[in-house]
Formats: sequence, C-alpha cells, structure tokens
Amino acid sequence: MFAPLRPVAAHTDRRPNEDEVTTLDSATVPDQAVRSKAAPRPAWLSGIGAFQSAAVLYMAVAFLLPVLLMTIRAVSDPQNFVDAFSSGIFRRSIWTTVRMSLTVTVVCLVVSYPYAYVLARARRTIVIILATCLLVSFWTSTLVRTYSWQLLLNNTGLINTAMVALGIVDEPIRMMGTDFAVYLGMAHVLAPYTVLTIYAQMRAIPRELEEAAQIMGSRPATVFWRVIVPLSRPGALAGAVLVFVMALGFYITPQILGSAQNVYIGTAIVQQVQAFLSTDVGAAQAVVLLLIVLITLAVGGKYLGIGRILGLDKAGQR
Amino acid sequence: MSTQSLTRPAEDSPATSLAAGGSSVELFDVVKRYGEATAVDGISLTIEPGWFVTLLGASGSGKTTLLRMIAGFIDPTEGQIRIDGVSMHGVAVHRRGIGMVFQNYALFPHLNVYRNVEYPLARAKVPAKERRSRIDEALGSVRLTGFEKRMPSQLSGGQQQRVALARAIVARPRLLLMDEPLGALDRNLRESLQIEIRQLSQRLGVTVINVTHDQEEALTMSDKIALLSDGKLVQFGTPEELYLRPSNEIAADFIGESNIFRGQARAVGTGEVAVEVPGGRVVGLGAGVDDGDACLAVVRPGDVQLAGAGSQLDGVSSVTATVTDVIFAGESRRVLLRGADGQQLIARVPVGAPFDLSPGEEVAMTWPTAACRCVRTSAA
Repeated sequence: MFAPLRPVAAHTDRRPNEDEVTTLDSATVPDQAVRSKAAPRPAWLSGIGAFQSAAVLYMAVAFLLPVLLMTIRAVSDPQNFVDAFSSGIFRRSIWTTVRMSLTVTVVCLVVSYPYAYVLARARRTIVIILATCLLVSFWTSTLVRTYSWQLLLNNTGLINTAMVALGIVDEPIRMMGTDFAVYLGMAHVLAPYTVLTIYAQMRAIPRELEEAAQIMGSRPATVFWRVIVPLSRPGALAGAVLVFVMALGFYITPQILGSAQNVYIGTAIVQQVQAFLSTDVGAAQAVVLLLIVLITLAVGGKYLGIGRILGLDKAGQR
Repeated sequence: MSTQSLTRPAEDSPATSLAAGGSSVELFDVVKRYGEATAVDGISLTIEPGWFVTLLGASGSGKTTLLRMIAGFIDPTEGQIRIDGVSMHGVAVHRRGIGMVFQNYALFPHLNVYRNVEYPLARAKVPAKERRSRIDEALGSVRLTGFEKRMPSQLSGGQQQRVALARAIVARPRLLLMDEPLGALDRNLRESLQIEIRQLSQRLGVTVINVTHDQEEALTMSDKIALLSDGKLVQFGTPEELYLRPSNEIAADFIGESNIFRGQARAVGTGEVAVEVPGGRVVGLGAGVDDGDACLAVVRPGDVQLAGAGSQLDGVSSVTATVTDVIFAGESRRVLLRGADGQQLIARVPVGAPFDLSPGEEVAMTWPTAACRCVRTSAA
C-alpha cells in the first residue's frame, strides 16, 4: 500500500497479528525512514519524495510514537526495571528466547542453503516451482501456518496417526507443546528470509568459478564448501541476523506450539500486562527486549554487513 | 582420482619441474545438439601430444561448445572424446586432470594469489611442504613472484590472466584448455602474452587447446589451427597451410585479407587450373577440379603484382581492375581495386618497389601461379 516501502517494512503491514512484540519493525523501520528522509533529494515534496515523506509520517505515527510512549512509561520509574527482573519467569524467558532464536537461526541456515542453491542454479521449471512454494508460504499468515503445524503434530494429528498406522511407533509421540514443535513452526515462518538473502548472494557468483573449481579437481561437495559457501557468507550472515531478531519477537508460534515450561519472552510480557495488570513493568520488559534487538542489529550491522542486504548502505564492496 | 591424473610424477626436466608432457586428444564425430539447433556438427580431430591447437571461428561456430565438451562441462550428444586414448564418456570434470584458463580468469575473489594457485594442489592432496615450491615455480614462470598476498581485485587484467595461467599449470596437467584467454586485454598486452603463453607451453610440453575468434592470435600462437564454421570443421592445418592454401571460401575469408575470384574452370592441366573470371583469366594450383566446374580462386594481397594497362606482365594470370585507393601502411602500400564485376580487390606493394599508380587508373593484376589456389565450389 505504501509503494516506497522496502520489503522488510512492507511485511509489517501484512502481519498485524504479531503486533507489539515484533520489535524488529520498530527497530529497523524508523532507521530506514530516517535515512530516506536524509537522502539528498531537494524535491522531497514531489513525486517519490512525497511518497517517502508520507511513509516517514506513517512510520513515525504508527511505530515511533507507540515505542516512544512505551519507553517513557517504562523509564519514568526505575523501580519498573527492578520489578521486571525480579520476575523469575521473565529472567528465564530471556534465556529461553535467545537460546531458541539461535537454534531457529541455525535451522534456517541449514535448510536455506541447499534451497537457495537449487533456486540459483536449477533450470527454469524447477526454479518456478521452488519460488512459488517459497512465496506462497511467505505470503500465508503466520497464524494459519502455525495452526497447520498443530494439525500435523497433534497426538491425533496426521503424522502420529500415520506412524501408528504404519507400525513405526506403538503410541503417538508427543510433539505438540515441545521445543521441537516451536523450532519447526518458527523455522517454517522465518526460513524464506534466509533463503532470499542467500539466494541474492548466490546469484552473483559467476558459474565460471564453480567450473574452475571443478576442473581443478573439486568434487561437487567441495565446490559447495570451498566456493559457494564462502562467497555467499555475507548474505547468510545478514539473513541470520534478520531471522534471529525476528525470532526474538515471536509470540504466536511459541504460544501455540510451545511448552508451558519454556515461556517465550513475548508470552512473559503479555502475562505481566494481562494477568498481573502491571503495565509499567510489562513496558520495562518490552524495553529490555527492544534493547536486545537493537544491540543485535548494531553488532550485526557493524560486523556482518546486514545493511548491504537491506540496501541501507551504498553499493556493496564487490 | 587425483592421484591418477593430477599428480603424475614430473619428468625430470632441467627447464622446469612443472613439465609433465602432453596428452593426445581425439575427437570422433562429436555432435552437440540443443533441441533443434546443432552447435557442433560431427567434428573429428586428432591432436598429438604437445601440440598447441587453436579452435578458431566466429561466434556461434561451435568452438566454445567443443572446448566445454573436452573439459566435461557438457556431454556430447553423439560421438566420442578420447584423452590419451581413454574415452571421456562418463568421466566427471574433476577426474579429468585438465588445466583450464577461463575467459574472465575465474579467480576466486575470496582467496589471495597464493591460495588461488594452491587450490588445485590442495584438491590433489599434494603434501603441504611440496606445495610451496611448486607455487613459487608456477608464479615465477608467469613472472608474478612477490604477488602472493594480493587479492585478485588488486591485480590488473594482465596480472589476473597470469595468475589464472599459473593456477592452470601448477598441478602439472598434460592438457591445458584456454577459453579466449586474452579476449579481455588490450592489444599490446595481448601480443606480449601470446608469445609468453606460447613459450611457456613449449617449455612444459603440455598439449594446449585454445579457443579464439582472433585470427592473428591463432596464427601467432598455434602449431595447428582448427577452423570452425557453423559447427563444422572447415580446415585443420598449420597456420601456414591455412594462410597460404585455404581449402575453401570460408577459410580464405576468415584468415587474413584475400582476393577471391569466382568463375568456371577451363583448361585443366596437371595440378593447374585456369579459371575464366570477369575481367580476365586466373591460373592457379588446384586438384580435383574438372573442366566446367564452378570454381573459386584465392590470391593473397602480398602476391599480387600490378601493371598499368597494356604493359607486359610475366604471369599467365591477368585480371583487369581499377585502382580506387592507395593507402600507405608502413612497410607496404595497400592498393584497393575494383574488379570488372564491381568486387573489391586488394594488392599489397612493398614500399621499396617503384610505384606510380593513382586512383582511377586501370591496371592488370597478376601473380605467380603457385600463389593462387583454386577450389571447386561444392554448392555449384
């Protein structure tokens, strides 16, 4: 709906159900908005400029303002932070969230590499099929996809029913309410991001380099490890930062698929606000989450070149 | 895999330990089709060990396709490729033990010069302590000692080309393929590298198959030239043979400047053919031409002698033409002429020779019979 928005920003519009806790948006989008405003374009009221300033305005009202209000509310009384950290559930949820987000990131990378490689190198028909699968999944609501996993993973779900029927197991394996289910569901939602960042980088690798490696005695696996992986690493790392940050802000998927013991940070905050009715402490906890996200992005931006993938800096090094 | 092909023991040559001799390459009726299109149309070729062979042709002639089939990147639709007498059918690229220089060098941008050149040695599991000396030698042979730490992006085009060459020979391949290796370089650099590559390949004794569309490069570097057109082999011979005795119009046209006359054969003698052409009579060497056959006769500009109309010429050939332009070109004058049927002709007269022709003048062209070659045109 807002033409000048770049993909990362655009996705927020499609995903209102992850709302407050998807802190990625509040972290990166203002950044983009500020930059586009800062771009030396004197005719900022005409043409694209007008669209951009509309986007800036929208972002300011829809994202910056709420985040600002929340932050003010949290810091107005330092006791809020003391209370926030006094909650054992919250302290544990930070660790759980970081640990699970890291795992999901690794899963995404492992799954995405071969997918992106095939996407970058296969012949046209296969590329069209793979790209369609990727995009349809990408465009389907997270809520829908999460409930689909529930249908598959239930004790009476498709997988368990099939395994029992085939005699692989005697009774259903509990998959719902486990970390495994959360990894599966989150990686499913997030893998398209790593696939696309890795794919973009792989497309830029000349096929000649693979041929050179081949004729110098590399078997296909060696070509992949020695040529494809190192040359696509910037894309993979940028995708990893992106996915990690988005995973930190997840709420629905761990809530529906996850266990009651390993509470995700988003769940902890919602609990604080809705069950304990302490909005100020919840705000402080949300600020903590926001800080984790900002630090990750800052470190990622500095060392991994995430900006290059998001198109935030000037032309890449190569 | 690698032990078989990549690390053959080097023959102890005083010149260089990188020398490993050359492979023979044989092609038998090799065909490559892409759907309806035929890229390579039944090429047979025998390349002896140590030869420097250039596949020459315009774009679309099938030369690159042929090279890529020898490398193993694509499989022939029909026919067979043998290296050292062994069929390459089903032999994967990485097992063929071939060195290759790519058109855009294909250096690994994430590795420095040393690591780039080390790459084939590492794949062949050459012991670490042996690598150093071989890399030093390979870089030395392309005069790049001291560049080990540079990244490819910090090198000029010519330097990148030499790294690519060092990387292609460091594993002592017996067959070296080059895909337009000098295409991206400027003229001066190209000429010096042509000689360098030629000398290096002779020193190593390696068989080289080089692809180019540049006929000068082909003439300078090659022992043999395989001229390709439309996926077919037009002529296979030494540069001299191709230049002096082109077997048909395509060959005559592609290699160097030439005068091509068309006409009907008359008075066929032993090995000699007289051809009646517009504006006169051409006599040249030609076998297998019968009386009355449609013929074409090829004469190189340097063999043409000119005389003002009416003056006596010593050749038996005589074709009248009109001078259209005289261009001074250093060692010689290039005289452009228009034949009786309006075709463009050319003569090259040494600067030292007496010369008093000017545009507009009518002259007679002639040449020694041995300098002209007559070929039957198949289409007629």
